[in-house]
Amino acid sequence: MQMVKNIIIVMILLPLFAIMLMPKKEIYYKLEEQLKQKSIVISNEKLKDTLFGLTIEHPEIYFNGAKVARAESIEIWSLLAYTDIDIVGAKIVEGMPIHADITSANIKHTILSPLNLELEADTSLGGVNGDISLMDRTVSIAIDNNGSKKGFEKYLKKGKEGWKYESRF
Amino acid sequence: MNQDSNNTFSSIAISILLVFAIVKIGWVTVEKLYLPAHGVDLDNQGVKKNLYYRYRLASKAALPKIKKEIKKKVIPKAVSTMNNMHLVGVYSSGADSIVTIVKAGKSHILGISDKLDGFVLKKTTATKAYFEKGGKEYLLELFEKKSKNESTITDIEKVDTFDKNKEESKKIKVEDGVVYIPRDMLKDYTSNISKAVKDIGLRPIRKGNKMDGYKVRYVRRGTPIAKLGLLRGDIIKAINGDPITDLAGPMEMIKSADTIEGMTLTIIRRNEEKELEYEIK
Repeated sequence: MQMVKNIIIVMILLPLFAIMLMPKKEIYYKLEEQLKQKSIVISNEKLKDTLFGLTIEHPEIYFNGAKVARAESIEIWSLLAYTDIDIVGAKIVEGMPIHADITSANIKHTILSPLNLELEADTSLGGVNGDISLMDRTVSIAIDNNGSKKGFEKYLKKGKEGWKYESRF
Repeated sequence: MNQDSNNTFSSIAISILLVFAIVKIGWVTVEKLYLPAHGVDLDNQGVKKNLYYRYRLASKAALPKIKKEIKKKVIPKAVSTMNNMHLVGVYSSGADSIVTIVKAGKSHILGISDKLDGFVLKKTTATKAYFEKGGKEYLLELFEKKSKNESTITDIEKVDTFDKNKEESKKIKVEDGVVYIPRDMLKDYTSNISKAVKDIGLRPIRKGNKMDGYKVRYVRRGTPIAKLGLLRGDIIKAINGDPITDLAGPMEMIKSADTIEGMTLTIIRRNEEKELEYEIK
């Protein structure tokens, strides 16, 4: 009986400790290294380690050495079975050929649908709802008619109830 | 009974501590073996200096000769070329490259890994751009040679362009050091980047990993741009007092061609700072 108790305790604590003790900053640095190979650099950000996640404050995103976007914060929160990413105040820098603001965006991943990510965002283009399929490597996003789509028309398809963006990665 | 509960409690406590220790050791091992200790920043780009240097105390003769490995640059052979697309400009600065492609009369500016009609820009040389599509490699060369049939047309076009440039240049007036530019002419250039690229060559300058202005590589004689006062070798440091540290400043200028009323370029010419003033009419 004692043995069973111990096994149950280990089963519960193992994933919990795994997340709590995860070297989150170092994993983020690894991600930065991967992005650098694609000429993307996230710079000037402040990292805050939390118990179940990581907060990235004021990141500035550079592509080929030129600043293209910035955000107020990106908060990543995970319990392995449920992961949540919150992006607040993201903006494409002024002066770029296209311009869009993301007031807030939320990306969710749950163990119930392990090969899909759900996306919800409030942007200057309008309300955004989408799916990212890790299996098919596709992004499918629906955008409502509430915002201005100026500059983005060539990337979007007009539908009956709004606009659609589809791509592969 | 009391001893039993004490045993249970200590057994649970040991289990918890054991799990904690195993997980911690596991993560520390992963961290030390596979994860970097520093992030990539634009200023340092992940470059770390060693905390120590190794010195070897030995006479020069005793040191083994180190053969320098000469790496030959291997430029991949292109298998196909791209139709209907023309490469009109290549700008390189360190690892960064930007190319200007004209397709069906429209200009497209691409960086490394950017896509145009499924063609992904992989690398550039001074006069060539290499693309990839569907695992196949494609090549675009700068100033493609025209066929014999086209040469006559080109000659006539050249004469026409020369006359047109001469007439357009007359519209730009210089009074008291201020250059007056017709708005239509400015809009013509900002909406047709390939035309601008033909008349003036600009190369981004980098200080460390940040942009620090543009160097004028050439100004085509007889064109309206030649009347703007820019000379080969000038370094454009700022637009309207804002230092050029990224693409945002020049892009903003291109975007506001409809509304802009004046513009000041701060340039460095022969190590002296100079300001060029323009008014848009």
